[in-house]
Amino acid sequence: MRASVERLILIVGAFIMIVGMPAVILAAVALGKITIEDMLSTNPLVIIPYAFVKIGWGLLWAIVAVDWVIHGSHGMRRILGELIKSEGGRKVASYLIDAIMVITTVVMFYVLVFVP
Amino acid sequence: MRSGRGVGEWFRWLNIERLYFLIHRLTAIYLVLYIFPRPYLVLLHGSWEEALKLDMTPLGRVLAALFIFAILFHGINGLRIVLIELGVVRGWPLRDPVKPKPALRVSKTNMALMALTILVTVVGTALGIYLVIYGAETWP
Repeated sequence: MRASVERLILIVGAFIMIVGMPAVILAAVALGKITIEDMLSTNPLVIIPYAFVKIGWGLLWAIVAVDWVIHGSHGMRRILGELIKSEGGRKVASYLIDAIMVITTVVMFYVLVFVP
Repeated sequence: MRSGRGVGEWFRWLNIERLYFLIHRLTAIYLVLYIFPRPYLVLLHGSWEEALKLDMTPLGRVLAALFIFAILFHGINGLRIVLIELGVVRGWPLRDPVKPKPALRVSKTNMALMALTILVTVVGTALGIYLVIYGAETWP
């Protein structure tokens, strides 16, 4: 993958998260699915993403979570690219990251949409 | 940065921008290590409720507090980096013979975003840690 394409995916992914995460949370609050009182008195890990699965917004949150995985995978490829010395090593790391990204994306989507 | 120079390269010639980028990278690594195993844990336990029990242990709470710090810093600083990469935030270097300044340090927007990163991270982490320790552990 060309560095410019990877950079574009990283930036687009970052934007989706920066805009998407607050947007989904605010939409849930605005529609009364999650109250502000509950939000400000609950462990954040209970709200994200457990509360979204519970109110039936798992699919919506899956979009953000899958983007999270893609952004993270490309970021890791960049970081590993700085650390690995050989071109061959970077190629192996790249294939490994691609495999992890695809599998994790599928599993993330599955658990957010189909696991109660 | 040249590739293959190792983690030590991240810590060399530290200035404010490099320090921010160092923390950005470290928080990125932590976020990947924290988030990527999560769907597999849910799959392993069979439900979100069961997986959540791990987060309510003392170790789970410490990791969650670190996660809140990491996501806040990485998110706000990431927005600053994206704005720099897109050319929205930019400045002209000060070519002073005695005290030159690089372009980004001249940019008031960049410095304001750097201050905002610290402010939001500190306030958000404090609130997050409070909720991780004292917040409700079940969804109503």
